[in-house]
Amino acid sequence: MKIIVILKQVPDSETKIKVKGDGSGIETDGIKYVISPYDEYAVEEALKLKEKAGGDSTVTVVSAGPDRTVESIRTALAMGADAAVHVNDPALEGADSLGVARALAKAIQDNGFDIIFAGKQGIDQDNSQVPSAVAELLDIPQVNIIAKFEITEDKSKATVSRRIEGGEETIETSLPALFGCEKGLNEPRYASLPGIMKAKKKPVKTVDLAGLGLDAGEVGAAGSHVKILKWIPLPERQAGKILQGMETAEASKELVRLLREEAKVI
Amino acid sequence: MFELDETQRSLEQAVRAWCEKNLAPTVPALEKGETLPFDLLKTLGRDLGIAQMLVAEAERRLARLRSGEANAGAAGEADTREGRGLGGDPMLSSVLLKEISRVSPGVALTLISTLGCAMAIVAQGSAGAIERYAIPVLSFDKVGAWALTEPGAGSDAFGGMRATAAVHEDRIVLSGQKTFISNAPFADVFVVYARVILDDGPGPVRGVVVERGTPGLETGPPLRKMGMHDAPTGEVFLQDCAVPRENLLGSVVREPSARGGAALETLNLERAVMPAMCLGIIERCVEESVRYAKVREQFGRPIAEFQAIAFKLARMALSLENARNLVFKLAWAQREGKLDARLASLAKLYCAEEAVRVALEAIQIHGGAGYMAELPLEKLARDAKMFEIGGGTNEIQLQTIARSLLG
Repeated sequence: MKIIVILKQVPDSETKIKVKGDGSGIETDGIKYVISPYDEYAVEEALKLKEKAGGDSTVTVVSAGPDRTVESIRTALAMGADAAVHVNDPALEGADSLGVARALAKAIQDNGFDIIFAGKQGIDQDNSQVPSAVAELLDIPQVNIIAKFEITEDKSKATVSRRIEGGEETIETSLPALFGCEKGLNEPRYASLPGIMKAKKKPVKTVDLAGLGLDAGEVGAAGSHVKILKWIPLPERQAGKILQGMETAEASKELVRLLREEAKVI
Repeated sequence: MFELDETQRSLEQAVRAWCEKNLAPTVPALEKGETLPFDLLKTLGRDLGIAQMLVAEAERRLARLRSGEANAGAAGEADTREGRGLGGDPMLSSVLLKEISRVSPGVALTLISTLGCAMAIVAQGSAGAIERYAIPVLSFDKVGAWALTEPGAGSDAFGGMRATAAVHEDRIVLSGQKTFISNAPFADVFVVYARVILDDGPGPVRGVVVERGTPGLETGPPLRKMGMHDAPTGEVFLQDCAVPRENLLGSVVREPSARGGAALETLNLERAVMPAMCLGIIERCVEESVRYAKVREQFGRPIAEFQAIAFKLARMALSLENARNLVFKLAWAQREGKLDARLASLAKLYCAEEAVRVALEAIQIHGGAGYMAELPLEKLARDAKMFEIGGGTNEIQLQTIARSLLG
């Protein structure tokens, strides 16, 4: 089975994000980058499937991003993935979700695939668009936000479930298909030391947009349908007001008045 | 050479993530003695593939010994290519120990104690001893302990040693008492150092493997101590404790130099890993202190803006840089076969002293909060003190360094 994982490198959730002074982006100095956590579930599910499917099954990681992305790709290889395709093209900086999805879909198509796992969303911009767009471009079914995954013995169908309000939705789909992975799907393994040492020797194919036969003017920033105009830092939180030296009844009245007249929330 | 390479960095990340998730939440229970560290180490060994690697390395050694068993005496000689630790890169062991020590130096101590026992057997034991005793310890199915210190033989470990190993044709009979032995209360396999007694008088000090359950071997309960509460420490009592002759590590031949021999080599190795553990303490304390000094406000501004605090942080950063460089140098020396007693002592002395100092400074910067057990600093400080004593006191390190200068 050719198992594909779509992986995105994002700033660590503990990183303090600072917006550049001119609002053109974020300060990238000192940012620690990691695999987007939902993508870790995708890697783990792919590895579990490979172990189960056995034979000549392979897990290939496909990721778009600048040079630094290799480190996250290597982590996935250290977890146990077999190979990777790294789409690295400066034109992708500032590309929209559709552009990135086009690049990834082409890379996946060139590689061949039987099943695709992705995180349900990247935890940086939270657009949640790339996996669905990739599935559409490849013209295969997709189920997003899956919390359980099972595959039939003959590997022609998968049964997955999604948590919905008040219950669980079970969906059966034919394969190939794309699945967006949710927290709780599995417990991602750690990159083991033997895995880390083996990862160095695993193939990482680097391609640019031209190599994929794509037009940078269409797929890259230049062809983007979405343009980020400005980045604005969150306004600093105002100091709170504490009502002191009043009886409870009086303070309550004052609180309601302030919420109504000053904060204008009631 | 002064930066981690990609493999080392990946391991650092993996161990840090593992420790945050598995070790940090368990530390309070470990500190109170409500739980023991051994299952946790087993999980660590499994999750990070360390057990698998250690066992594979021991099995390679075993295969070599078996194939060369015709060459008599091969079992007695330590293989010089080995003893470089995980994956043949000493820096990987350092990274592992540093990361664990950022959260719990005690658990790191438990780890080096159990592995130290197994590695001593792998380096010098017979094929049978490696298979029976070392491999189950390396796979973390059993717990090992390495017993050198005695009530009357601390710094003078070899000269003052009273434990004896009487060598008979088919067995060795041990008698004596060991104390302050890490893991002893719960260990399954012990490497006990004792003076070999030959027909014509005392011989060299050698390690002998003893399994729990052997008649004549008893251990005491965990001793209460200042720090390292998560690393159980205790006494070992041996009375006419008979083990098979093949449990002897090394030969009974007297060496020209009467000092510790193989035990001293293990001790050097112990000294060579402790700086990495101290580095973990220093690194964590510096990070926590810098973070806190920037957010903690007094007199209307962050305390980092007071020179009294800023200069403390600067000195702590200096210690961190020096300790890190020494750990890099130790790894380089081990790789190049240039690790000697002088460098091992020098690095251990410096890193131990700085770990204590930096941890106390970190507490000072955190003030009352630093003194509370809620934060990790007071534990790190208590644990740090052990490194000024265990594996050779500061004074013994100074003596070793001085001897290397003065001959």
